[in-house]
Amino acid sequence: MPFRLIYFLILLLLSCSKKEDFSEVQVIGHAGMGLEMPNSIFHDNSMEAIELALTIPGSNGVEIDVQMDLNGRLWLFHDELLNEETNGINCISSNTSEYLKTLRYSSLKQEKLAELSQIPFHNFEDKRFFLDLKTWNKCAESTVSVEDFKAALLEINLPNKCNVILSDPSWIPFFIDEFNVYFASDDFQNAKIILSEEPMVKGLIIRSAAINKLQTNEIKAQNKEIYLFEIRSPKGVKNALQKRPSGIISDDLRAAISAVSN
Amino acid sequence: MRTIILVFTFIYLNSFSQNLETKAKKSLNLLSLTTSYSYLNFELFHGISYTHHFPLFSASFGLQTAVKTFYTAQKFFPETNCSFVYRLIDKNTFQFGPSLQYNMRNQKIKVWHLYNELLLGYSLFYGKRIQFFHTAGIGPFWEIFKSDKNERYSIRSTNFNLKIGLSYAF
Repeated sequence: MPFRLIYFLILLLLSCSKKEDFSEVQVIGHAGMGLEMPNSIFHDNSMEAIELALTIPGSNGVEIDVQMDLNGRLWLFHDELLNEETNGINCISSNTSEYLKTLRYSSLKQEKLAELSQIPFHNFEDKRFFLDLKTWNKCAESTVSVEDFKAALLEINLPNKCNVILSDPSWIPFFIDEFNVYFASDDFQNAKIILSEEPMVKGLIIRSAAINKLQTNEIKAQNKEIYLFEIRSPKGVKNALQKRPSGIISDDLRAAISAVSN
Repeated sequence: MRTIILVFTFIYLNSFSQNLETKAKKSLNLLSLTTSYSYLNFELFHGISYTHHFPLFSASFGLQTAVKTFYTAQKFFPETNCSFVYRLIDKNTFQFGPSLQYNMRNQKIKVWHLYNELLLGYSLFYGKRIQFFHTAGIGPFWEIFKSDKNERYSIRSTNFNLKIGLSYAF
């Protein structure tokens, strides 16, 4: 009797599987192997996590968070304050490069804080890089200088027409000529307005929960790309894929690749 | 990390002070069906395991098949594991003690990835024929796969794992 019950349960599990083809959906690693993921081996935005995300077969690229320090150098870091995730204090924008070079994440492996210029872009020519430009300096309660940020980016040997993600619409005109600009927003209606006002913007980056399949198709019908993020579980991966976006920026890269490469 | 090693070393040293006579009475071999859920990796395991209870510790060998939760497109992958549990507390229906576990699994994420992990932690069992178990451990972890450029890529890291499950003994 117990055998039959277990056999039945396994069959039930298998029968729930419905294979769909998601091969056209790109899989991008969020901050490398995922943002604040308990099952990620490496800390988000660390060089180790980025290299692993770019090396895993099936990954189409990475999204990374870029902030500028006092000396105009670019660092990969997500949060506004250094205090919680590293052994440093204050913000990236209020510290010097020398100080930031000494910092390590407060994770098990204590990875070093990474600079954007350290990424071996040209070893991964077939991969896509999305640079999420963090414009707000919390410590100074002001935005950083857009001209300085752009100059710092152009100094780095980035791939041709690198993708940048901007959440501040006023920054779009500064980057539109040299970069592929993607607009990030949680407000679909506002995003639609920005996309229509800025026809050169390549697409939209939006939280998966903030959009449905119809809205995704609406964006794609305008010949814009749409990438969904905040996809933290296998269930989230499945829900996001069913909306048929251009790509998903997944926090569980392995689950996303696994689901896409069915 | 050093503190963890020190604590477990202390537990192992202490364990030999137990009464061997009472322990020696217990010698059981169990073949069981297991179902467990690894919270950190969102993996559901089903499998069969064989456990031999020695006077002081239990050794088990298991073959499992795992699936990435109910929700995603089901992909099964095999895992073999063996573990040693020192029964620090050994009541009639309750056992608890430090454990050493080795897991090896092969998972297809576009290409095959080979995972090896060695976990030092604790195990807890409650029940007789139907047994609830919980294991937790931390230790070295290796992942090996071939990249798009057909290069062998190996990652060494530290991993931790939490598992809860049920087993049915024949």
